[in-house]
Amino acid sequence: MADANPFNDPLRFEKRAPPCAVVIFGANGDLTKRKLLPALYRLAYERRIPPSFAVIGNSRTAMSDDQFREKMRESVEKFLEDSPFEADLWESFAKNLFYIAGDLNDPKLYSEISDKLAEIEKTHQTAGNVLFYLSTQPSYYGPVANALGAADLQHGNGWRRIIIEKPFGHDLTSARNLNDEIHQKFEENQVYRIDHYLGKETVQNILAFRFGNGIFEPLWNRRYINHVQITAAESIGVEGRGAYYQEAGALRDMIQNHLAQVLATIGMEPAAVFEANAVRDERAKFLRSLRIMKPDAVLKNAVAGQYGPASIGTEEVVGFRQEPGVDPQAQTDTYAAVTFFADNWRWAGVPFYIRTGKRLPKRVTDIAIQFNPAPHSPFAAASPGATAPGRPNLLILRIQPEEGISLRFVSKEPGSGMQLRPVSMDFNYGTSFGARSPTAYETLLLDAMAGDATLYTRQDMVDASWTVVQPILEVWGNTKFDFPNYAAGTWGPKASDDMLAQHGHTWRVP
Amino acid sequence: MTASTKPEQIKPEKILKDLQKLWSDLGKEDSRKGSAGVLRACAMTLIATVEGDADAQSVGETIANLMHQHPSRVIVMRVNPDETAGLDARVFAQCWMPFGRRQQICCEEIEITASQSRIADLPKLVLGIMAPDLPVVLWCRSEKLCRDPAFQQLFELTEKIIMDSSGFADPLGALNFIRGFISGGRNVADLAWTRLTHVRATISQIFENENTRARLKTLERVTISYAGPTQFGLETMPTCLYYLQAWFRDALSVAVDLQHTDARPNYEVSGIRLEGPAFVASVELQESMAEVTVNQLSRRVSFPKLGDCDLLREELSIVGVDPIYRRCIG
Repeated sequence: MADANPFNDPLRFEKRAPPCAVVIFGANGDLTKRKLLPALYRLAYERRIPPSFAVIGNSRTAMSDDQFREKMRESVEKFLEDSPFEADLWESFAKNLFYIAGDLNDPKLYSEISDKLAEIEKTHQTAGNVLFYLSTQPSYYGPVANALGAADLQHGNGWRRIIIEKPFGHDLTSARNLNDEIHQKFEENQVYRIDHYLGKETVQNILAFRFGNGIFEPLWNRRYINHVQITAAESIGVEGRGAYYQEAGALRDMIQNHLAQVLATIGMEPAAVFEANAVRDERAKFLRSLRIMKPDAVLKNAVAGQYGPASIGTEEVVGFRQEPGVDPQAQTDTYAAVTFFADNWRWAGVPFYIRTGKRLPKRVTDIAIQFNPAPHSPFAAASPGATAPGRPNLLILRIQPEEGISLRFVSKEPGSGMQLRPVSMDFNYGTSFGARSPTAYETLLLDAMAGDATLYTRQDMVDASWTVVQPILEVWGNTKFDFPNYAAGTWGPKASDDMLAQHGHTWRVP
Repeated sequence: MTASTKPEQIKPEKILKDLQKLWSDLGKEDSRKGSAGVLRACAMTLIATVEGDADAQSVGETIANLMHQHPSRVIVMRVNPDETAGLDARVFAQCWMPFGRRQQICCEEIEITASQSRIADLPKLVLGIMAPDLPVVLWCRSEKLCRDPAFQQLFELTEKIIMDSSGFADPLGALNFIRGFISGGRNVADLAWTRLTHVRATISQIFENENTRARLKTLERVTISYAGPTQFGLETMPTCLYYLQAWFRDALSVAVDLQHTDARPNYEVSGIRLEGPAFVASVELQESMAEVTVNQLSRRVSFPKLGDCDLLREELSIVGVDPIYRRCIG
């Protein structure tokens, strides 16, 4: 092993990728065009990718290297966010793009990839480091991992890593089977399960907010926090993904993965060091502390919804069952709300309400921490509404669209009396840090190349989140819902409000 | 929006009162327009010293851009060559509307002008108008003001002093001047060093590759090519070349040569070559690109020209002392 790089300056140099090749399976798909290649180009633009770098794309479509380059150029130009496209730089970057057409089930494909990697290792000095990116149909995850192993591509002169997109399984059993299948060929420390929510700057900032400040963590427990609400709302419908979404649903598509990870970020204990396994240990520990619901508890603590047709403004919106490719009798949840409880000392008795859905009034993702009211209000007579339960102190962590943090508290109105009213103290991420934030895929790709798995989910985290979601899936799978139960453009079914009402709470309007 | 202070009333309380009025007026004006209000943003006090009108204009543009990322209370201290000007101050707001938002973000700026004879009054005035409980950074653009003894008490209160030795008449003197500050316990940054970050990062990236890094021990020679008016003598060596040479020497025990290549108005690094028996790497700097070659494998990388705003952005993001810079300045 060579010594440390004597030129490194961690104070000033940003994280950079080491020499490597990235092999993308599903390179003709939407994710590659919209996210992966623009992210890699942007990393090259910022000099975070070394000259010793190459990308090998694969899909079934026959294409030459040049045709692939041209296709990727169009995508990068179209989907590059907040960045200039520089033709000169692209020409240099594109020289490192290669393409191999082939069927994922065909062993010949993997031997071609093996030959190409060996060639690139020499010509591009990639030091034998390879990152495999599975941007394919989920049903191929296991077979591709197996085929890579059969071709002995999981080992080489350098490191070998594999990135797997969500969904990681469609229930607990399939997730465990998939883990077993992948582990036959790859060690857990080679597996990077991507959850792009963890790559979002503002989700990472929750850790900085909680553990980088001294004033919040002492309040971050059952003594001071009344409950937590996590909302991930989308105003759009399934947008042509009806066939996929019909099989997935909101609980699988959002809560089992993205929102469970956000929840873990809110509820986890501080890690001793900010290192991948230390942070992931704490996330996993929290997820394992979530109460597993019995079927009767599911009925009280989980609500499924599906949107029906409505007019929103001047737009006539069809219901989910009228979307193209969707079964007119579909029982799919386009809305899911769940109350979770973490059975541990910090959070005993504190409800964590999570809701997500399509065709809700607006696109917003935020986390609201509602604190307990003051034990006694000396101002109650002068200003009865000011400290009533309806006006609690709220800490809101906004993930999108206006990333930031707000703290709501009461303040005296100017004047001779003692009238109080709630005011908001805002920290706006974009205002305080005007610099462009990297996209989640830039962050996550760079981390995977650099071997930093902090923002990737580990087997035990995936297992734990499926474990808490599985009883809900089972109850819902055996229920015939009277869908649709909410109109497009509203905040979900009434049953969701009732779920909170049983604890004396109401959903806030984000 | 601006508010002017009469010369006879130039004192901290009056400037702070003008600031208060400025914010109140901004709020009223905004509510008349029915917009979503003004957000006052401030993360530090940034003090800039400037000389002459042209300098003031360029500083104004730099600061306006810088505020988006480092919102601050900016205090610009300007020396007015007109001796009758005395001491004057005005306050105004730097506002912008972020794309897609309805709320304006505003920072406050205080410009104090002083004739030569009133320079000594500037530091005392500034002491009373710094934003409380926030870091204070001094961007010392004027060599003369930096050397003025009256400014010593201001240096005491700043977390960081940012200078640009490339603008000093005597490079060797500039380095000694900065060394003096550092030995006095001050945290000093030099933009001539900051300008080298991209080129240093590019060199460093070459050695991220373990195979390449293994060749470091066999490296025999580093050649730094530079453009500039002429070949310089030892006493007139531009600080950027001094720093780069020192950085290589800090990292490696090899000969570091300097080579004058072409004539340009200002001294700047134009290329770097690292050579050993079985290894050659080079970085050739062009307009806004660089050609990086490692053992015949070449790649172009973006290499944008950096302005003061980019350099300050980098420096303001670094809290505390830069240990590598300290080692390089010696």
